[in-house]
Amino acid sequence: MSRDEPLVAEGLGKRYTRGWALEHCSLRVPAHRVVALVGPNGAGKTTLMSLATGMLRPTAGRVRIFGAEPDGRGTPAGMAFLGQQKSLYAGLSVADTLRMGRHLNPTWDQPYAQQLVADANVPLRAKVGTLSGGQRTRVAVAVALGKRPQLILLDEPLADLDPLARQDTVHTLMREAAQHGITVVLSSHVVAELQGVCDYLVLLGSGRVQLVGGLDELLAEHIVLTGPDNHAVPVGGVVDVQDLRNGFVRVLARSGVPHLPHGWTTDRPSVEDLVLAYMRTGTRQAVAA
Amino acid sequence: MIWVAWRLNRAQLLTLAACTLAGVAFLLYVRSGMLSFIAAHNMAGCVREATHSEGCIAPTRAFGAEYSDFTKYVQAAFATLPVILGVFCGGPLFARELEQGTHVLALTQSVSRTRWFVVKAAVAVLPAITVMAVLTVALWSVISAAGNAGVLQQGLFEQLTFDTSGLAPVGYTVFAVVVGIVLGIAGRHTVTAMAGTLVAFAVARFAGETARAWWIGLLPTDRVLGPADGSGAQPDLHGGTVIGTGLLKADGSTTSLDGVQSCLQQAGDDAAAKACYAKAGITQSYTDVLSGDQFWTAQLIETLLFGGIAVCLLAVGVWLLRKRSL
Repeated sequence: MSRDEPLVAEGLGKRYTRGWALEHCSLRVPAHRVVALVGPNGAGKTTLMSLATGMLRPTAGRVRIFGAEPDGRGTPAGMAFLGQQKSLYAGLSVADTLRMGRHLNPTWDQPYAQQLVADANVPLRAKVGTLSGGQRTRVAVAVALGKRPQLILLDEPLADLDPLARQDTVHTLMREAAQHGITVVLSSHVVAELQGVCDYLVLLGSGRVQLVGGLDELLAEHIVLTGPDNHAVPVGGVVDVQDLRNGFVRVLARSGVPHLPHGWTTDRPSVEDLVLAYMRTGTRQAVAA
Repeated sequence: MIWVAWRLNRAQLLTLAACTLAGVAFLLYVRSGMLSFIAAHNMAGCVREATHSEGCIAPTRAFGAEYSDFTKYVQAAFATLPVILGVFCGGPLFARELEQGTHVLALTQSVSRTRWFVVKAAVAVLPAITVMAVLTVALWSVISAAGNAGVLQQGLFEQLTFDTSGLAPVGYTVFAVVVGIVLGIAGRHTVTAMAGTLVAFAVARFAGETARAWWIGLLPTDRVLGPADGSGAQPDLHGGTVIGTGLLKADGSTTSLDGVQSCLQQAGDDAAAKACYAKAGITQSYTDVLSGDQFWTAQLIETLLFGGIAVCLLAVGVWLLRKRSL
């Protein structure tokens, strides 16, 4: 529908009375990727999502969805949002909830939405308020996907689900995203659940973008080193040094594999290594500032 | 959006419809009771008479004993309906959505905030208007059936009758529901919005009554003249009300009783009293009557006042919703 990038933020900032929740955020989300938006609690993930949906107005900068700024005239065309609360009307039946989606969206695909609900074994006549957390999420996902978006934003979609419901939900989302070329932005503070799901990483810390890029590229650009704590770290580009308290340190560095002095070993970082290392530096910088 | 707003309010709207039907049925039952009483006591003429003739006094008194207090209670209960509608239809309308976060669902679909507001508000305000219009007509059918044997004896401008007839109930209702809506958006808290509506409505109505006591004096009145000593017949008010009385001198200027008070106290009989007035140069007494014909003008003013404030508040609601981060 549009050749513009799904989500572009330029110098985006949001200040509440208690301070900046998001600051100097510049970011381009490439199309057809599954983007992990990670960061500790309070990093600005929800704020960024709310700015993108137009629920919040930016204090500084701007955000564009397929080239259009959210302006309170409904969510920009082609975008769907699934919030942390997965807000649905508890008093409505599942069928009426889908019917609502149909009435509120010109691009609604009713058979598709019904299929998604049927796949999840959620009875159409049940009231939303009587569903389990997993079922509610699946209905909310059906409402979000039913409008046939090209970009879907999911704010902590898996936070309150049991592992099985988590797997089902992720599986559905990834299958639909891959099949229909939907760009997915998924926020989470649980890093482990993103491995094998996402292929692009945006790391927020203290209201700023700490790290951004394709996941494979980022993992290839970094190494983990372990060595004695009484030696200088033998590489440049050090992101984080973690004292293991057994005479050794564990270092994450943005570097190729160097020639190492005796006592040092290298390893490929996991997503968790990468994210945690940057989160720690982010927090330290924030404290120092 | 219209279907969505209807579906979300369906239970409330159906309850409202059922209560309205029950109310209408009750009022029609009361009316038929009154009509049979009137027929049984052969007092159809007394209902029409402005001042009761000899033969009407006894049956009118009996009718009053049966229905007078009851009608007042019904009117008083009716007068609380606007604020009840405001508290229950207006207050929670947006407050509950904002409180429970369900507005995020609606506003992240392809619906603008303004449209969301307008349709939701309309689905609350329009049924409330309909309900009040229907009930006002039903109540009027009761009041008019009793005619001058009932509360209309005290005229159309009697406070409770004025507040529960014509257009005013609809004006109050629109105002109450809109206050609830706007307080809900501003405060984002259901119970606060409901309580706030109650208080705001009470204050506004009190202010409205005070204002009315002033502006009703600005409406054109008819001056009815009589003999200086006030011995003339009571003027026919035509459902209107007496705004003022006084004394006139020969040159047409008004005066008060003060000048003749001491003379009147010493006067032994009517002739002596007449002489007192003559001595003070007072030729006539007058009564200023606000005619019942002015009823609809007054109703329109009252309704436009409350309706006008409601429209301004609606604009504030739209502005709040468009401007604010939600």
